[in-house]
Amino acid sequence: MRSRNGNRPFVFTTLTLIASLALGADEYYIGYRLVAKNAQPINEELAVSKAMRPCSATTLSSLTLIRTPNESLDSLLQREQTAFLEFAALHNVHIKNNETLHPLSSQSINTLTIPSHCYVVEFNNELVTITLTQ
Amino acid sequence: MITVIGQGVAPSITASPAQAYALAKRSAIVDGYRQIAEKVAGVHVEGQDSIKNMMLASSSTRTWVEAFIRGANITNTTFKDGLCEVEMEIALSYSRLLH
Repeated sequence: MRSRNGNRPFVFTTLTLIASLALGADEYYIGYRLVAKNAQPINEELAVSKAMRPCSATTLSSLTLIRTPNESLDSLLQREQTAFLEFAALHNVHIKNNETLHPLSSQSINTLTIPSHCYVVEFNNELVTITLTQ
Repeated sequence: MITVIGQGVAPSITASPAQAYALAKRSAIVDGYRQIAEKVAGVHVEGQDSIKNMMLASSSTRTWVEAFIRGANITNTTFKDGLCEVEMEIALSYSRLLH
């Protein structure tokens, strides 16, 4: 038998699920990494994964993008990648740089990482609102 | 307030001028963040010289920097002759640095 306290997470999860379905919102984890060698990008990766657990209810800021009918989040992010990255980079960016200098050669490798965060994504007919959660 | 200018170059093979611009800008932004990190967090420098028979045989220098950055803004972007320059700024407060 469940105690009263033990039921709270279950009730909270159910309410969040119902609210998400009612609003047409989904939750995704999105992360990004770019590697540039000698000032030229050599590798780029945008990772999108649907959240398997409810994210934090505390929201930070939002980005609204125009969506074509039935466009998925993946294709939308590919199309509007620059806008999304500038939005996501405002909150947290990890930068790592390694340079080696020899008398006849030099090499510079920069790695920029936007750590994976949970985003609430609301799909409407013409717009998509992406909200960062804490 | 710290202001830096990051520079980036597009790869030699791109599908279109728009893609070249986008990739050069990404690279310039990374360079801008690197410069901010260098100013805020500092740079590690490691040098090694080898001397053989009183003569310099080899010399190498390695530098590295690693930091988390929050709140940097892009204020200006220019793209000319394949080189993209991004002006970035970040506001710092003394109390924030102490933490």
